Amino acid sequence: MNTAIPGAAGAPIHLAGRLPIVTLLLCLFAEVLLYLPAELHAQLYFERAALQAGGALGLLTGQWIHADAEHLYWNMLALAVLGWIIESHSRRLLVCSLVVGMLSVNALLLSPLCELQRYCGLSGLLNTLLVVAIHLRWQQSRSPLIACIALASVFKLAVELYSGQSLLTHISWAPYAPAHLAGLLGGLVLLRFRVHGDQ
Amino acid sequence: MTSLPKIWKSTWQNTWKCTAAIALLAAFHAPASLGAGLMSPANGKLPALQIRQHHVDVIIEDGYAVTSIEQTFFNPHNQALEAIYSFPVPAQAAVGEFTYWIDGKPVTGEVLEKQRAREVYEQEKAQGRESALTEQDDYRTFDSTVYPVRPQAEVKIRLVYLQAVKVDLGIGRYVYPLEEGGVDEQKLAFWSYNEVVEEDFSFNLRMRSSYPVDTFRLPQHPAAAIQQQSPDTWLVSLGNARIDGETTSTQPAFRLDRDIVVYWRHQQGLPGSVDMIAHKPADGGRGTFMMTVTPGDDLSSIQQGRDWVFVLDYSGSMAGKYQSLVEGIRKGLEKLNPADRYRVVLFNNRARELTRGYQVVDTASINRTIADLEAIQPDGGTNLYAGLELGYRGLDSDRPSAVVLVTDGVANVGLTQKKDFLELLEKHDVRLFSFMMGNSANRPLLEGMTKMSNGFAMNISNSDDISGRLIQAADKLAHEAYRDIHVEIDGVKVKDLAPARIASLYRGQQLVLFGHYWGGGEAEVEITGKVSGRDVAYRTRFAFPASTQRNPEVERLWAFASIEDLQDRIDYLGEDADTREAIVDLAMEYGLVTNYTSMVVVREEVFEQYGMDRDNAARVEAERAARAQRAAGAVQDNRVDSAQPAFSSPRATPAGGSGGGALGPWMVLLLLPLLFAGRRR
Repeated sequence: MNTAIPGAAGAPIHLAGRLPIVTLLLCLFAEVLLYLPAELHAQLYFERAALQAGGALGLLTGQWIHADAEHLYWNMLALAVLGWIIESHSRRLLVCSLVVGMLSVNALLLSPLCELQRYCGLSGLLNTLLVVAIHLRWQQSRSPLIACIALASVFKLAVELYSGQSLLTHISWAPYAPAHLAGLLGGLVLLRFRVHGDQ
Repeated sequence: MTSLPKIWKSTWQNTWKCTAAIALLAAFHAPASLGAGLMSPANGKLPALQIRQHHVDVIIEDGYAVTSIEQTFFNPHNQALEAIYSFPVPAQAAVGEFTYWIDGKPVTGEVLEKQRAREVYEQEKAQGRESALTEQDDYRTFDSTVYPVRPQAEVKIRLVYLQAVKVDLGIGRYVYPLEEGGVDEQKLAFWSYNEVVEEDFSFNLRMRSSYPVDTFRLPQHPAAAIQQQSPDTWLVSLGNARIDGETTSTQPAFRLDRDIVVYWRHQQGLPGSVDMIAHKPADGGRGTFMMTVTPGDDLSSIQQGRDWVFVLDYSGSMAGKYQSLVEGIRKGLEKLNPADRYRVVLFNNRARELTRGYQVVDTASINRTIADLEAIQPDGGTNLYAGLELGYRGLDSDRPSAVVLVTDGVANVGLTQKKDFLELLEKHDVRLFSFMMGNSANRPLLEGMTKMSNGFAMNISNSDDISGRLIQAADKLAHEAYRDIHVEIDGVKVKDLAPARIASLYRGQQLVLFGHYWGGGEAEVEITGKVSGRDVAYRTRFAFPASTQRNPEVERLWAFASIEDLQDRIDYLGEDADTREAIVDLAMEYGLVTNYTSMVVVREEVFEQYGMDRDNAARVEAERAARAQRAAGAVQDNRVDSAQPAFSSPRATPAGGSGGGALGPWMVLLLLPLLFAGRRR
């Protein structure tokens, strides 16, 4: 089956026709990282002390490593959905979104606003992908359902920021909602530049 | 758990970091320290004995550590020697075994009153028979004297000590103390020795924990091998010995000049909990328990402004650390809240105020303070009392205040008795936070003072991860604390709780409580206290075992905690015959070396001649058998409040700790419509 969907610029989007190879590889990468030996696993978090000692690896791997299996699998499922939507539209856009998302979250972690010593997980980056995916879908359909999803996502983020609690999720690390906000802002910045680029 | 609004508000919290920064940064670039744990001829003119082997085995399980040190020394001289083996007293350590190999066989010591033990040792020495004596030199060192060390011959000894191991903000810390020196008072005859292990050195720490650990860290020993052997067992190894135990000339010697500090980090999100281990022989009678309370994270951060008085030691021993201390103060002051004020008091032989009264926090006053500090050269002795007295003078009763004391030495000028210090503190309702640098600080004095003021004391090794300790200290200062803690146990007869008084518990700290119980069965346990004036209570229900022999070491740990309580009483009220006798009785019954008791080793057949029962040898054997049994079995989960949790929230982790986030099932469900929602415009 080859399901074609009009793209934002009128180009067809192929959901089943093109294998989202980048998305699948990234999911596999995140899963492999989880099952590394514990002593190696611990070296891959974003860790402020290690960074100060000159170890920058955590900036690259910190968002791809997860605290536990539950943490990984929900994030991986979200990555699969969002990555598929974006990659179906443009593989380049997916890569750009990933880079911008990682930069946004790292910028927050390195800023004076952040006191975290360690960070892990894809969720901040996923919020960048979420913004881009919602934008693509909105461009395609202007459907009220898309608007509802966007509003629900913003509401969830606002509650998490206010309460400091993660909604509907429990992982073994304390939730850090500001990373979600950073990812979301990164997505908005990307869209802003993209719109300008399109113009 | 941190949200962005909280982070924006958290500038205030940075304020508190200054206090810890000042204390902790001073530990940077500490001067080269001398090693300890060595054997020297009693005649200080002769060179030290060679250390041929030094093996350290640490087992951390069920909330306490058992450290076993085996050393082999060699006398390169052509005469028989009396030698002294000396090592720093580790924090909260109960020395319960000293074994001396006589005719190739290990002989374990027995505890006697200090004077009597010395007499036995001297009598044996006079007769030319093998003998050894382990004494506590106040809070500084344990000294073991061994006679004779024959020419061109080896001496082998083993020392075992126990200590409760606490986890703070999810981070455990174990220190194998080796550094000595750098203080004003030195036993000069002791300082010319060989601190190099010529042949085999090994340090093996095995951790067995039912609470998952996610990593280990040895900041000053990056070459250590860290291995997770199973989900609940870790092994940390360090040394120059080959696996088969043989050595070659290519094996590097190991210097015993730096503390070995080991951290482990528990996984986040672990529940607040009550854990208990016990020892109760099957014959009924009295049991002993050790209860570890790890509160859930329900202490709020403090928002109001404060006055800070920094009382800083600039005696001669601080010379190598002073510039770091100044830099720490600079960074700390820059982080102060604009609503705060500060004073700086310095002391060596006498005390003086560096700042003229309280300073507001602005760039000009900070620069002025730093310039004044930089112009000072550390020298002289340590008049700690004068420093504290000046620090406590002129406090503003309308504002909350705190005193931060940083010292690496002992009080040796002016008033030096603990009683005087406690009386000084009693006059002021102000918390004292002490930062003790190195292994030679007068720990009993500083801990006693902070306990009385409801503050906290932090021991900082030169091998510590300074930034990590900074996080732990700053976190505590930035949060409320539990006060007036009381533990009530109903349903089972419980007595002899130690510590008798639980002053305060700061965020992330564990409460470890020892006691005796009779019978067994279900008990209601209620932990009450006050947080910022409001009452808090945590309740649970669990069973005390009618019989268990898994952890016989708990008896010694209880005895050690009880002796510490008695020693506190002596320090405060002065020594009286009853209290002294109580300490001696406890120490002799449980085989512990204290200020009033020593451990003596003689030939096996000679114990009987002196009428000494082999109680300690039997206890040591029972503990060794229990350890072997535990090692062969599975790791035990000691949590007792699982059925009725005492705390509703997870354990505290540093406010600047770890974080992550996940898009849970509902969020993923929300995303699924995206896949198909926009298929037609």
